[in-house]
Order: sequence, then C-alpha cells, then structure tokens
Amino acid sequence: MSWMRKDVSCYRVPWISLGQAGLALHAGYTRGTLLVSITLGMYSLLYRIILQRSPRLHISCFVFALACCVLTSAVSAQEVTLRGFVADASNGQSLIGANIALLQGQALVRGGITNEQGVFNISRIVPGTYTVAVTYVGYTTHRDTLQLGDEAVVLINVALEPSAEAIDEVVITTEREAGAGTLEAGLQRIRPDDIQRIPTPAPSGDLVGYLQALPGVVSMGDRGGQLFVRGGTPSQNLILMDGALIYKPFHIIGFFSAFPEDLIANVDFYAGGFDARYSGRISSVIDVTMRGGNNQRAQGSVSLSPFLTGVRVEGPLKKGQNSFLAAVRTSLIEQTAPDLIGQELPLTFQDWFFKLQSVGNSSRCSGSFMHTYDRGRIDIESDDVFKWQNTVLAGQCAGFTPNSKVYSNVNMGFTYVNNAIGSADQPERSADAWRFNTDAHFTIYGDEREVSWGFFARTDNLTYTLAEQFQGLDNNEDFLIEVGGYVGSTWVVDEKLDIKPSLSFTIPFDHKAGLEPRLRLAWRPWGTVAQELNAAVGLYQQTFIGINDERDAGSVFTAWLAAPLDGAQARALHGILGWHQQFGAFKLSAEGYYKRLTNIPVPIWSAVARFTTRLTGASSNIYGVDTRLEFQQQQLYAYLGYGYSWIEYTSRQDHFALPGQSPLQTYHPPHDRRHQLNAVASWTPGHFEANVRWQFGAGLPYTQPLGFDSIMNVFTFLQYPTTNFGQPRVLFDKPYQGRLPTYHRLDVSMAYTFKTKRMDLELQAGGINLYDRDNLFYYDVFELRRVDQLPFTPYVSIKIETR
Amino acid sequence: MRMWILTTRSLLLLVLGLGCETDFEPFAENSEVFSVIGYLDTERDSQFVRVEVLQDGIFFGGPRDPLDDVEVVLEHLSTGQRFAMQDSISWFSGATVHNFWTPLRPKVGESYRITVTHRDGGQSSARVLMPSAFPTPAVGMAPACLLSGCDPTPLPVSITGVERLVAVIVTYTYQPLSGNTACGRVRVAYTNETTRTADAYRTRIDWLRDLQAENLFRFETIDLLVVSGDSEWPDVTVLDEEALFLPQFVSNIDNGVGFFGGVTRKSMSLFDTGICR
Repeated sequence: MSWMRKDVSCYRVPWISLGQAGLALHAGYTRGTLLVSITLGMYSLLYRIILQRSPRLHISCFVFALACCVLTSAVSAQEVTLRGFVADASNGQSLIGANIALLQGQALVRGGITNEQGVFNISRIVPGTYTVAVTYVGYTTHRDTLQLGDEAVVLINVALEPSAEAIDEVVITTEREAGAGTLEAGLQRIRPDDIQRIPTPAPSGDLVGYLQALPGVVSMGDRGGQLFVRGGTPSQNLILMDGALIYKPFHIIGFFSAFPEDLIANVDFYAGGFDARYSGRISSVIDVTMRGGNNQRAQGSVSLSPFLTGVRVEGPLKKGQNSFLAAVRTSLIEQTAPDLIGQELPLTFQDWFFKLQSVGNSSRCSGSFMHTYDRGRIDIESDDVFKWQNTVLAGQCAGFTPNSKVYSNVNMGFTYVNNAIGSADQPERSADAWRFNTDAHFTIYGDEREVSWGFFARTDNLTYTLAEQFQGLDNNEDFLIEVGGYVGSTWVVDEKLDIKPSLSFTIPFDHKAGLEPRLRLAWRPWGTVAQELNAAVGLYQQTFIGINDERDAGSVFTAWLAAPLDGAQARALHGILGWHQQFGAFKLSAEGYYKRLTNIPVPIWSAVARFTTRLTGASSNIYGVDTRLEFQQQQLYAYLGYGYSWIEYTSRQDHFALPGQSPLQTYHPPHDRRHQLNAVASWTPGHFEANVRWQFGAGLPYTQPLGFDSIMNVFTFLQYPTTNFGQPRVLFDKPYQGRLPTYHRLDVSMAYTFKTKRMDLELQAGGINLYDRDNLFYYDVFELRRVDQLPFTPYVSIKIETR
Repeated sequence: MRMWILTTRSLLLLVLGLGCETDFEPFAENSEVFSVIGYLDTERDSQFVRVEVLQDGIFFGGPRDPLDDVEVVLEHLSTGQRFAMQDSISWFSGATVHNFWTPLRPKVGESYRITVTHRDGGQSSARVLMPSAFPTPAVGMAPACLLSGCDPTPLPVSITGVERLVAVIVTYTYQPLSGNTACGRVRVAYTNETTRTADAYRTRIDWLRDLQAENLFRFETIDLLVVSGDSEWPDVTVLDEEALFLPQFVSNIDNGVGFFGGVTRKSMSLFDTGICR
C-alpha cells in the first residue's frame, strides 16, 4: 500500500483502486490495513463519480490533495519517533490521557499524552539514552530505559498495573485533564469517573445525566430524550458511537441513554467550535468511544433497580489480544411505577450492545453493534404513543503502519433509525433514516506541527410519512450522497500558543458543496495550562436536518429531510472565547459563545387546531456564558456550573403581521432556558460513595392562550349560524411570549460496595426529586391540564460484579 | 451541637419550602372577557349571537348549564329600545356553545348595540350600523337549458349599491338519476370570484363548470343570494384561514374577541325548470 510509505505522496490516495485491497492480503498487511484499503477503494470509485458529475469539483479536490502533500512534507524529517499504546494491564483497556515523559537524568526532554485510542507519539527525538516514564492516575508508574539509535520509529506498548494508592508523581502535564471544570473552547473530555458522580436511579451512571448537569445543555424534562446544546436543536447534534452516527441514543426516560458509564471509555463533547474532522452538523458533537471487553479474564455483572435491570459479560477470546463485551438492559419502571410513585409511567426502553476488540502491537481494531428501543406515552393522558429504535454497526481500526509516521484511524458504519407517533397499533406519522458511512483519518505527528487530514463518504436514505403534518411533505423519500474531506494542523508556536486551523469540504450530490474553515487556538500567557485562554471560530453546514412539531409533548418525533427549504442547507457560524484558571484544588472555566444559525426549518406557528403546519426558514442568534467551578481533593468532589443563554429566532410568519407590518417575527424558542444552575457534590471515603445533585432552570418559553371559542367561515356563518359548531379556536397570544415556571430538583444517592475475593456487591439507595417539587413538564391548553415531571421517587439498587 | 441542630432544621425547612407547589397561570393577561360571534340580519325574524366566556375550555367540557351569570342585551340606539336575549345551548360532540337569541327584525340603515355583561362586572360590547338596502342585482340572459350542449356562456352578474360585499352564493338543484328521491342541492360560493369595479361588483356564474365539477348531468334551477354587510365586515377575500384564527385580525368587540355585524340580502331565481320546486 503505497500511501503508507513515508516517501509517498498522498496525492495518490484518491486513485487507489479497489483491487489493492486484495493485494494487501497477499502482502500480509494487518486487518486495519485491509479496512483502510477497502475504504480507499470506495473513495476511488466515489471520486470518479464526482469527477464525472462535476468536473469543477476536480479543482477543489486537487487543491485539497496538494495541501495534504505540502503539509505532510513539512513535517517529514528524519529524527527518531517514539510511539505506542498505553493500556490497563488488568483488562487491556486503552488508557486515555496517560502522560508519557522522556527523561535524561531527571530532566524532562519531551512528553506526550495518549489519545482516545490510548496512542501516544513523540517525534523528532535526538538519538540517545532516555528514561521513559508513563503515568496515569490510579496506576503504578511505568519506567524503562531506552536506547534510541538508528531506527526511525521505535514502538513501545505499555501496560500499567492498577494501584490502590494515589500516585504522588506527575511527571509532565501537556494537556489538561478531564472534568466538568475543564473546558477548552467548547470541548470537554468526559471520563467514566465523571459520570459516576451524578445520582442516577440505577447502579451505573449514565452519560445523559452528566450532560444534563452541564451549563448550556437543556433538556425539556425527565422524559423524551431530547438535548439542546447551546441553542442548537437535537437534530443539529452529531452523536457518534465508535465513529458511527447514532440518531436518537437518549432514552425516553430522561435519566438514561445508550451510553451507561460502565460501557464508556471516553467522550469528547464539543458544545460548539469543533474542528473540521467533524462535519454534517451545525451545533455540537458528542463523540463516544465505547470500551472493549476485558482481554485478560472473564468478567460479568448483574444489576437491578426499580428503573431497569441489566446484564454484562465480557472476556478474552484470545488472551491479551482479542476480547468481547456484551451488555443488555431493559427498563422496569413501567411495571414498578404504580407501587413506587403511585402513578402510571408507561415508558419502556431496552438497549443491546456488543463489541469485539482486537489489540495488536501497532493497531487497535473493533467492531461494535448497538440496538436501542424506546416506546411510551410522554403524556399518560394522551393516546399518542412514541416509539423509536436505533441500530448501529461500527467498524473501527486505528494504529500506525510499520516504518511510517502516519497514524491512521478508519471507520465504517451502518446506522438505522425509525421513529413514529400515533396509536399503539397504527402510527400516524413515522420517519426512517439509514446511513452508510466510511471515513478515514490520518495524522502525522511533528515536533511543532501535527498535520491531519481525512476523507469521508456517506449515503443517507430518508423516508417519512407525515399524515399532512407538514404541508407539502406528506410521504416522501430522500436519498443523499455526500463525499468530502478535511485538512488540519495543530501548530505549537511556542510553549504559550497553539493554533489549530482546519478546513472541511463537503460535496453533497444534488446540493451545494460547502467549504467550512475553522480555527481553534489556546494561549497560555504564563506558559502553563493552569491559566489558558481558548478561542474557536468556524463555519458549519448541514444538508439533512430533523424537523419537529413543537406542539408534540417533548417534541420527540423527528422527521429527517434533505434541505427542506427549497434546497437551502442549514448553516452556522460559531465563535467562542474562554478562560481557564486552575488554583490549588480548584478549577474555574468561563466561556462566552455566539452562534448564528441560518436556514433552520421551523414550523409556521399555527393557531388552527389541526395537526398540519407549514415550514418556514428561521435564522437564530444565540449567545451565552458557561461558568464552571470544580473542586477536587482526595475523597471530596464538588462542582458548580452556571449557564446564561439567550436564543432568538427570526422567521417569516406572514399571518401574524397586521396589514402593512413586516411578516418577520422574532421569538424565543421553547428551549431558550435563560438561566441554569447545577451543583454536584461527591464524597467517596473507602467503599462508601455519596452523591448529590441540585439543578435549577429558568422557565422555558411557551405560547400563552387567551381563551377559547369557535369560529365559522362566512359561508357557514350565513347559512347555519346556530346549528353548526364551526371549528374550535384557541385564542393564542403571540408565540412563546410566556414562560413556564422555574424548574429545580434535588437528587441524592448513597452506595456501599462490599468487596470479596471473587466479586463486588454494590448496594445503592437514593431519591429523585427529594423535596417533591411539582416541576411542570407540559401544559395541555385544550384541556387546561398540567403534566408534571416525576415526583419524589425513592429507589434502591443492587449490582453484583465478578472481579 | 445547638448550632448543628439549628443548621439542620434550617436546611430541612428550606428543602420543604422548595418543594411547595407553585401555582401556574397559563393564560396571558388580557382584558378580553367574552367571545361574541354573530350578526343581525334584516331578512330574519329572530336574531342570534354566540357568546362564550373566554378562558373557559369548551372543547372537552361536555354538557354545561346555561350562562345564568351572563346578560346579553341588544339595544336599538335610535329608539333606546332594549331586547334581552335568551340563552340556548347546543352540543356538538361534547363541545358546548351558547347561542343567545331574541325575536327582532332589524331595520336597514339603523344602529344597534350588543352588550354582554358578566355578573362579576366584566363587559364586552359592539356597535352595528346596519347596511342600506341595495337594488336587485342585474343578471344576463339565462340559457335555454343547463346541460352539456346548451349555450355554455356564463351568466354575468352586476351588483350595485353595496358598501361591503359579504357573500355571493349560487344554489343549484338537480334531479338524481333514480327518480324517486328528492332533488339534490349544490351551493357554490362566488364571493372570491367577484371583482369590484368603479360602479359595481361583478362576477360570472359559470354553471357548466359547476355542473362538471359536481359530475352531474344537468341543473334544474339556479338561485342567487347576495349578502351585503356593514362597513365593519372583514374583507374575507384577503384573509387566509390561519389569519382568521388570530383574534387581532377579525374583531370589532370592545373588551372581547369575535365579530358582530349586520347584513341585508337579496335572493333571486335565475333559472327554473319547475321540476325541483
């Protein structure tokens, strides 16, 4: 495979033929190489299709390829490169964020940190004798002496032993750690330990609970599974599971998602300002890396709570190399709610997860399968039943090719989602979407500059039956092919300044191609990560987008359409400026942001009591500030987050304008939560753990009714003034002028783990909404009826896990 | 110890206080009291008006009692004569409406006021100036027959003396193929096909198009109804359905929503075979 040799131009990449995949087998390349070959073969075919359809695009692609070559050659010098993987010796899991230090004597020469695959790379090392030290919190430090000489690339894989004692040595810190108090221009890295601190009515924490505790993230309530990030809507969030898109991973019960803490390896959460590696969404990115199974020994767990029960098994298929992990969960709250809280809660969900992982000397490959199912009545008085299910298949390979400086990461994925609303037997509206995607990412690590580039191809098929809900969009099908790529660089100017420019281009067939330049930078005025200024700016484009009818309780039903506003794609401009300050055990982050969204399809607001509306284009101005204060010292952890947000939509709503007035109406959409406060505290002495969370949210906008009557058209009015009812009319004020009551809730949990030689037994007790606040979820103006969120809900849970 | 107990007690009180139920008033603050929908018709001997108390759900309420605490009065302004209107209740699939009525034949060109008063003091009202009488519309020569093959020329209609045209409605009758059943009736609104010129409203009754649209063999009669309204009548030809549902567009009720107007009308027969009379 020529592209992997260090002296070969990447300009050849697009022309690699599918046949080369077969050659890779003969040549004895790794499985990862084969996957890369297949992927590139597909790009070759797609590329030729592009050229046939639009020769103009040839120029763009040529410029892109040339940029790859120039950037690559700029960093391909001949010093020694040290690289490898860092893993947990007890289970083979990659350790993300481990520090690697290269020392001469006691002097630090160079350093690095492992990425989301547990990979590190230190380039341009002068030949000589060094001590390498690998450290990670909770593990014994690994030290080794290396003689670096003639070899251009030296590979070392390190397995760290877990240690019960906290390490007292931090050799280098090249990057800040994860944690809610750490925010880098919209990016937060989330580790399972962070998630565990949020009280959850189950033995395991959940990603969605953690996200809901972050400023700038708004959920409409404790059911429905919709998250709005810094003013963006759920369909504008890019959610990846092992590199593959997943549409609706948040369960109908708002405490749970398809990402429980014990299955997660790492989450990169971008509330905005993400770089060009990510494309196709305009608001946020939630990039979840699921962990693999234990490749050292078999393990399993069984858990039970009033909300759900689950089983997990994992173990080696070939010790030290191949492993599997399987997990199944199903909800129980539908059955337990009448006894637990004295009311029905007809909500149910299940999820299944399976992962195979292979660990080689220089690569990691995995295959993941996920299926989720949700069903329920958001409003128990209503006959409307919401259903959705996701199916995701993801293949991923990452690693270094021998004798090459290129680190590559290749993904292939298949995703399917279906959601429906209506009666239990016959949905009135339904929408399906499936995607096949393949993408490849390459990185060359340099001393001062790291260059990355990649390609993607994806096909989406969108079908929907809307029963006239959206006028002109009754039954239809969209098929969309998108190809594109990106190039970017991380340039470490000096110890104070990092600059990360990137450029993404997307070529959607039958729609306009887009160039999306983006820039991220970090400035450390005192040369230490304890004080850092971060900034990001970028352009974003989204071709297919979800539409909701905001009159649905919780806006759960989503139909995905390809650029429904006469082909106009949704676009966004992001700007972020933030400051991070670390002092002692405290971390403080404050970040201001601005988003400008255009061509957002929204329903034309209608007072007519029928489930039909029309779409119009809206633009949105969003700005806000996220502030976080985090404290951690030994067994005590505390976090306080405050978010201020201001969201305003402007859209054309002709019938709201009196004659002679502008038809443009401005309003604050239903997810405009102006103030948000979250407080989390955790105490973990020994085998005991206590967690508390209090959350407060200002009231969300809603449309106030003025009253009710009936109305007739003139034709009926003149002929049957008394014997015809006409049409019921709700007299509404202008849309979203009112505010629902404020929301606040206190959740607590306490757990104790009994440890034996063979297993751990965790007993947990806790309560949701401890002071039984009547938090309004939904108000039915037709029946003058309020639907509240969960009342005080006590629970106990048990989890048995083999060691 | 004492301090610890005080702190704990304070925290408990705070927590219990936080949990107190908060009242939520979903309605927007406004001064409107009633919805009043109706009109006075110079060609009817009884007048009706639909009155609803705003902020009182009607859609799923089922049968309800008369609005005993509401008084509806119609006043002839030039004479001061007052007519108390009586409630009558109609149920439509669980929804209830209140149609108040009184025996009265209003006079053209006269002014009336309707006042709806709640026992609690809230009041909505509207003033109506009845339209003037207008001449019989001029209609072109009717064809000899109304079936395919006859002269297909539409009938021209010219309406004069009308300040605000409310409706132009054409009613056809037809004889079903099975001769034992009663004649059928088709109503077609021509209001939106009527244009205003300097001296008149004009339209053309395209009976052949209507015949084909209804998939019928022939019409037996054509009747024309022209309704003239007072100057307050909304121009329904420029408002879509969405706009009609918004209270700020079509309302002449003080301290309320809805519309109360006055009409006069002319009916005339344009063609009649005698079969369906």
